[in-house]
Amino acid sequence: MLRASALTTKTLAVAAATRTASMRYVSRMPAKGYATTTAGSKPPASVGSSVPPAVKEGIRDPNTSFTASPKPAAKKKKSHKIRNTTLLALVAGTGFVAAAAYAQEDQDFGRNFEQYVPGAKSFMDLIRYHDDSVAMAASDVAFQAYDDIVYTGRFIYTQLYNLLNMLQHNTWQGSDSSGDTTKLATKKPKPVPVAATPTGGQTANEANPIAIVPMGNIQVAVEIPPMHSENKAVAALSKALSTVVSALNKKGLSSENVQELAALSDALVALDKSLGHIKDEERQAIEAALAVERSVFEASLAEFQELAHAALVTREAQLLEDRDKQLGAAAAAMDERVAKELSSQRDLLERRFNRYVRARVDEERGGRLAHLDRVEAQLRQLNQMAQESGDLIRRSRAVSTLGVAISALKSAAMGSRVQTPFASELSALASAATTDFPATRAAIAAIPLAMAEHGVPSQVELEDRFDTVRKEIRSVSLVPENGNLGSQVLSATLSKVMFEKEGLVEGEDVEAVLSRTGFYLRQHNLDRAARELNQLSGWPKKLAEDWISAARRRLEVEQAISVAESEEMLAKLSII
Amino acid sequence: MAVENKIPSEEIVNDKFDQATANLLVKTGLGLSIGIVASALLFKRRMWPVTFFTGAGVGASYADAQRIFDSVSALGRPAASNNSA
Repeated sequence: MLRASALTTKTLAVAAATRTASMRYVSRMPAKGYATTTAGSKPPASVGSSVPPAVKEGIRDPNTSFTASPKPAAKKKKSHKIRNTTLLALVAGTGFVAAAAYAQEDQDFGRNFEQYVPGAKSFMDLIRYHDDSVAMAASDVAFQAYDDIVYTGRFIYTQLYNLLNMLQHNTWQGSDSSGDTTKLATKKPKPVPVAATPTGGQTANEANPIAIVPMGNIQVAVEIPPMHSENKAVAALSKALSTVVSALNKKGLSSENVQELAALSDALVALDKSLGHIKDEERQAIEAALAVERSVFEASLAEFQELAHAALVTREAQLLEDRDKQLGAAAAAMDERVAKELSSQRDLLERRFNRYVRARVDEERGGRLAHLDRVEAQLRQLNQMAQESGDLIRRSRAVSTLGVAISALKSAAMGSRVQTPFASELSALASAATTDFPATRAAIAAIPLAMAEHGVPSQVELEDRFDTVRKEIRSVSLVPENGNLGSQVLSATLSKVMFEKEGLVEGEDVEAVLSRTGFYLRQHNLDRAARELNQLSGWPKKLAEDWISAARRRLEVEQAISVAESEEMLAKLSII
Repeated sequence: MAVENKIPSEEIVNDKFDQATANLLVKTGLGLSIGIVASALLFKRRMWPVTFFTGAGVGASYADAQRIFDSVSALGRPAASNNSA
C-alpha cells in the first residue's frame, strides 16, 4: 500500500512536470490527459510518462489531471472540394473521349452513346468532320474552349475597365478602351452581342455639339425623287439613287456633290429616252418580218389544199373499185353455197329413194331380207346396250369401293379422339382410286407415309393443347424481336397483370390474335384458327410453331378426304 | 440433339428458364466453394474472396443466360431492320 502510494505520487509529479513544460502539448492519447479514465484497459507506454502497466479497475487513472486549457476542437476534416471536382471532371472527360473512341469501332455502342449521352452526337459529328481522328476533335474542342475563355476574360476585363472609367472620369470612352474595342470588333468573327460602348462613343461625340467647332461644316441636303419610266431597270436605278441621296443627306453634302448628283440625274433621264427610242425601232422591224412570214404561210396553205383535194379524188376511185370487187366475191360465195345445198338435198333424196326401193323389193320377195337386216340391227343395238350397262356396273362398283374406302379413312384419321395411325386405310384408298379419279390420286399422293403412320392429332387434342400454347404465348407476348434475358423476365412478370381478351375482337396485337383463335376453336373451325395464329411474329410465333404445324397436318388430311368425297359425289352424279 | 427435337415449341421458353436457373445454381455454388477455399487457404479468412467468387459465379451464369435467351439464335436475324441512327 505504501509502495502503491509512493508510485502514484511519483507519477503525479512526473505528469505535472510534463504538463508545466508545454501547456498546449496535446499528447497522443488525449483521453488520458482530460479528466477521463481508461478504466479496465492497459494504458500503453506513452511519450514522456513512465506509467506502470497495471491499473486497478475502478480506480481513476493516475495520469488524469485537471487543466484549464480547453479541449482542442475536433480537427475539421479538410474537404478537398476543388481537388475532388477537378478529378471527377477529368475522369468524366476521359471516359467521354474514350467512349467516343470506342464508338468508332462498335456501331451499336455508338448509336446508344449518341442517343443517350448529351453532347455525344455533336462530338461524334466533329470526329467525322476531322476524318475520324479523336485527337483532332479533342484538340478542336480544347482550342474552342480556350478561345471562349480568353474572349470571356477579355470581355469582362474591358467591361470592368469601362465601368471604372465611368466611375472615375464620368465618361464611357477611356484612352485604352477604344483600341481594345476595335481589336475586339475585328478579332471576333462569331455573332456575339457587342456592347453598346463602341457605337455609344461615337453618338456621344455627335450629340455633344458644344465640343465641336461651330461653323466647321454647313449641312447641305438635296432631294432627288425617284423617276417613273417604262423601263423597270431604269426605275429601279432612279429609286436606288434617291435612297443613296437621302443617305448622303444625313452625312452632309457640299456644293460639288450637289452638282455631281444633278449631272447623275440628267444622265439617267437621257438613258431612259434612248432606251425608248431603241424599243420603237425594234417594234417596227418585228412587224415587217411578221408581214413577210404571213405571205409565205398563205402560199404554202393554198398549195396544201390542192394536194389534199387530189388525194381525196384518188381515194374515192379506189374505194369504188374495192366495193365492186367485194360484191363480185360475195355473189360467187352465194352461188357455191346454193350448189352445196342442192347436192346434199340430192343425196337425201337418193337415200330415200333407195330405201323405198328396198322396201318394195323386200315386200315383193316376202320381206325375208328386210327381216335379216332388221335382226342384225337389233343385235347390234343389244350389244351396245350390254356394253354400256357393263360399263355402268363397273363404274358404280368403283365408286362404291371408293366411297367405302373414304369413309374408312375418315373414321380412322378424323373419327377418334386420340391420334391414331391410318396407313392401311390410306393404302386401301390409294388402290381404290383408279385412273377414273385423278384428283383423289393426287390428293392421296400428297400425304406422306410418315404422317399416315403417326396419325394426325384430333380436334379435341388440338383444342386442349391450345390452352397451354395460349398461356405460354401470353407470357412471352411482350418480348421484342431482339429481346434477351431481361426482356423475357419483364414480359413474364408484366403479362401476368395484363387483361386477357375473349371473343372476336379486332386488333393486331398478340392478345387479340389469341382471343380470335380461341373463338374459332370453340366453334371447331380449325382452319380459321390456324390462319389467325399464323399472323403472329417473333417469339410468340416461335412458340406457336408446333401447334400450327400439327393443325396444318390435320387440315391437310381433312382437305384430301374432302377432295376424295367430292370426286366420289361427282362420279355418282354422272352415273345417275 | 435428338432429345432437343422432342420439346414442343410452346415449352422452349420454360426450358430455357430451367437451363438458366440450373446454371445459376451450379455456378453460384461453384463460386461460393471456390471463394471459401481461397479465403481459407490464401486470404487469411477474410470475407471478400467469398463474395468476389460468388459474384463471379453469378456473373458467369448471367452471361450464359444472355446467350441462352439470345433472340438471334432462336428466331434468326430479323429480315428488315430500321436504320434510324
